[in-house]
Amino acid sequence: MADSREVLHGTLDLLILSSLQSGALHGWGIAHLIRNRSSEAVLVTTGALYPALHRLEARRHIKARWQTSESNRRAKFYELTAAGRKVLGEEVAWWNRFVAGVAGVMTAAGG
Amino acid sequence: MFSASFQRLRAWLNRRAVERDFADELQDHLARDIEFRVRQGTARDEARRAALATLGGVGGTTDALRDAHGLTSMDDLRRDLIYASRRLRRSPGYALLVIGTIGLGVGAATAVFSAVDGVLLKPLPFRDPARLVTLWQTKPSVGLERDDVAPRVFLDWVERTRSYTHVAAGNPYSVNYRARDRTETVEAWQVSEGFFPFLEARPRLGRTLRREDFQPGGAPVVVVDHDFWQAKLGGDPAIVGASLTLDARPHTVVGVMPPGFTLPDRSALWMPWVPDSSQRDDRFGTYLKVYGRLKEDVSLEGAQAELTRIAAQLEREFPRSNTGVGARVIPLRDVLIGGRAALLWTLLGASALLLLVTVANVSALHLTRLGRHRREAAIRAALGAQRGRLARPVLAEGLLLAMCGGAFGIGAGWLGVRIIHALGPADLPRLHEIALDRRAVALALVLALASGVVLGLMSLGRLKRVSAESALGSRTTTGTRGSMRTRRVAVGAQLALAMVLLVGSGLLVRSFVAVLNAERGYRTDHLLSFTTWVYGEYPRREALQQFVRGTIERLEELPGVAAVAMSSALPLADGITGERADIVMDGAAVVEGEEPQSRGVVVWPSYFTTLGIGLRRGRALTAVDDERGEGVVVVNEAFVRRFSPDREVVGRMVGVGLMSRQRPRRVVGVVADTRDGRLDGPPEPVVYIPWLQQPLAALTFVVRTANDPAALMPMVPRTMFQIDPRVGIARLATLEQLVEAHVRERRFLLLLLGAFAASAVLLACVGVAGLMGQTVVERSREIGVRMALGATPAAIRGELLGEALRMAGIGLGAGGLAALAAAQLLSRFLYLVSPRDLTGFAMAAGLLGTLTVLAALGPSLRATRLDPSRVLQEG
Repeated sequence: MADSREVLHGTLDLLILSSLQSGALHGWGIAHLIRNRSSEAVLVTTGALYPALHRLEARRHIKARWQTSESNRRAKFYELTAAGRKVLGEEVAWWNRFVAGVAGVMTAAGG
Repeated sequence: MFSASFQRLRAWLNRRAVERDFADELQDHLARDIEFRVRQGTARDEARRAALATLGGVGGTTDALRDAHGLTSMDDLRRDLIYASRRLRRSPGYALLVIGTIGLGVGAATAVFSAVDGVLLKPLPFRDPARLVTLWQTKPSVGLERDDVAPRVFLDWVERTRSYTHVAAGNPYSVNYRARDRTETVEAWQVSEGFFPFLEARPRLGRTLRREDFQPGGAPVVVVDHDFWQAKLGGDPAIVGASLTLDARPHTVVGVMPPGFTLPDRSALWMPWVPDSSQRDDRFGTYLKVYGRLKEDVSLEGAQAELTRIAAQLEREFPRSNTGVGARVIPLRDVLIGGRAALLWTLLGASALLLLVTVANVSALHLTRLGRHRREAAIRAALGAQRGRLARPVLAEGLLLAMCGGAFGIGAGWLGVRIIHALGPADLPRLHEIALDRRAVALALVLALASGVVLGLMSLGRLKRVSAESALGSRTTTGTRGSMRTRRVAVGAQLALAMVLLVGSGLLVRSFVAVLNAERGYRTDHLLSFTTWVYGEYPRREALQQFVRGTIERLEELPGVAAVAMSSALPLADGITGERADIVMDGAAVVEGEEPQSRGVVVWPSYFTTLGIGLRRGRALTAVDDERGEGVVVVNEAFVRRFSPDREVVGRMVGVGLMSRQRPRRVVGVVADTRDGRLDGPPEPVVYIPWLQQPLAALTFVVRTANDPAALMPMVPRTMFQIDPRVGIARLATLEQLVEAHVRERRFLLLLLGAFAASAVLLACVGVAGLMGQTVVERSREIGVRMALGATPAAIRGELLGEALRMAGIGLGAGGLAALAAAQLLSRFLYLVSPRDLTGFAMAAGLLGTLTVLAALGPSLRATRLDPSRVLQEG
């Protein structure tokens, strides 16, 4: 592992979907939000983020629309779909069970 | 799954727009990141560098995006193919073997398909050919299921039928076409007015026949066949309007038909059939070929029902001529193809078997290759590569091999079509139209791709089971137990299929030999024959006799000629094998019109000695048996068996009606049986009548030469032209050539099936050798341990060979059963050999078993030369 702060395998989709809960965001916004909310404990590289976004889009968990910014740049905004919200709910439940389980193991180990 | 592929395809088709979107999105990200860093107080240059660094290089991210959209797989395909070709170049033996094998199977299947397609599947070259039918008279009481039609009956049918847009007749006729230095007799059909309209055929040049051409006394006109136009008239484009001398009368050429204009009986010329009043009333002479084009709303059954009804009417109205005479409608296509369908379907079946052998062989080869690939794949899988990534090189390799195999197969198919042209039976309808066309090429590509898909599916099936620990942990270098089992099945199947082909071609070889060795009853070496018809040239009997005598004398004077004879028919000569003669033995009570029949041949006295037909009893015919002498005949042994089994035939009186009223004749001798019409059937009863007592106009001369009879061939037309330029000659050939024509179909089938069988056997041997080699590699560790523990090399060898033989036994057993069924299908091509002939099965099994042992021997010897210590160390 090059960087311990790299996103745990399998949780990136969860993070992206959660960060879109409050409304539409562009890629940089999502990365920024994850970084801020995790107090810089979790870093999402662009090389992982964008393919994940496109994958989620292909699966119809999120949808995208293009907007033209003030400086005439095209910007792509993502938002959750109904299917995405449902998946998010399942993923959050799974994550909670997982965290509780890991915590239980840790406690037992006295860590 | 489907929508994902669809999306991927759409993305690939729009890849420019998609790529621009990637770039824009990343550009936006970059701009925002820089702004953010600047706002945080970083210098713009520094911010830019940092932003780019976190982006991980725009290129890398774009690649990842491309991958997410499936664009890479399309781009990678090209790369994979290049990589695959590089890998294959490192093992050229494997590549060539697979390409050659696929090419062989595909090529054979493609060539045979071309023949089946050209002859059986493609419609006839006429408009709406499915509506074209042939109409026949029948007379079941004398065994005539398909007889030609009498002129009056044809005219009645024309008047009374309502099922056809046209009913047409053709009278197979021949005329003497006079060229500069020779006169040739050519097929010239006299056709009724409906003939060309019935076919809806358009001429290539000029016109077809018109109503005014059929007026009695009209100017003689002729329509010319394309081949005749090319061969005899030099393809002259200005031929329409020119004059041809036919039967010594000028005929004006009015049109030339396009190539491929052919009916069951080919003709060089077409002329109007203008029957005179006696012909118009003839209900007895059945000689017309009758055709019809069904109306749109009339079925074959409907037409048959109508014709049956009309036949019944005619029976009531004309009991004298039409009692017991029925009628039949048969599709033109069935008549045209005749018995050839069986030949072609047999070949198609055989080529399908060969194709299966090649697929089994390639599969076995490929499995070995996969075994090698497996270890590499296992390592990569352990390092986290996706399965798709792992499969791609193998899939690409399979695809590349299949494509090359397909290309090779098309080449082989082209060659195969040439071979079919060269060797195919000359009377195979439309033989020369057989070509490797678009459909055949498409088939070749589909077959090649299908074998590619088989290889691909096998690769995926294998790789699915790749699990990092098993493959890496296992000590074997290739394959697993499962892949060995699959390979054993593939090789066993090859042996089974090879067995089927080998048994089939073995039966054909033995039939072929039996046919060639059949007691023909006459000699065929150093003999030459040709036929002339003298209908109008010598109306007086003395003059005709003079002509025949003169011709025989002139031919005898030619250099190298040993003997000359003449007869009305000749063994093996198609269409001139004699007329039917009514036979009434003395004292027998026979209903008129239902006399038993024999073949009747009218001969010159020298006929028997010239052809070497042996005299059994009594005497042969001599020069004294002329019109002044007693009426005599000579019969063959089959005739004796049929008509006089209990009484000595020599000296008996027999009533013989050959093309005339019955006349009593005395049997003076018995000659040996001859196989005249077919070589592969029983001899028929024949009665030989002296020509001098019953001259016929169809004269077939037979010349025995001291040297090669073919050398004499060019001299014959010129000699005959000098004797009488009005008399045409036809069917000039050596008797060897006639035999050749008769065994051609047999030999054609034999050669192709033999080639298929040889290929299958060769491939099966390659398969066995490969499998055993593989087994030895797989089990080298075990063998090493056992040899270290004291097993003798002989025991190891014996065990390996035993294993090969067990597999061969199962394969050959299964193949034997399949061959039993296949041989039944071949039975119509067999002669004097039973399809259940055990010798053939035993020989095929013995040959394949021996070859299996030989193929397994090399690898077994290698196994026992293993050095135990080294094997164990390596393991």
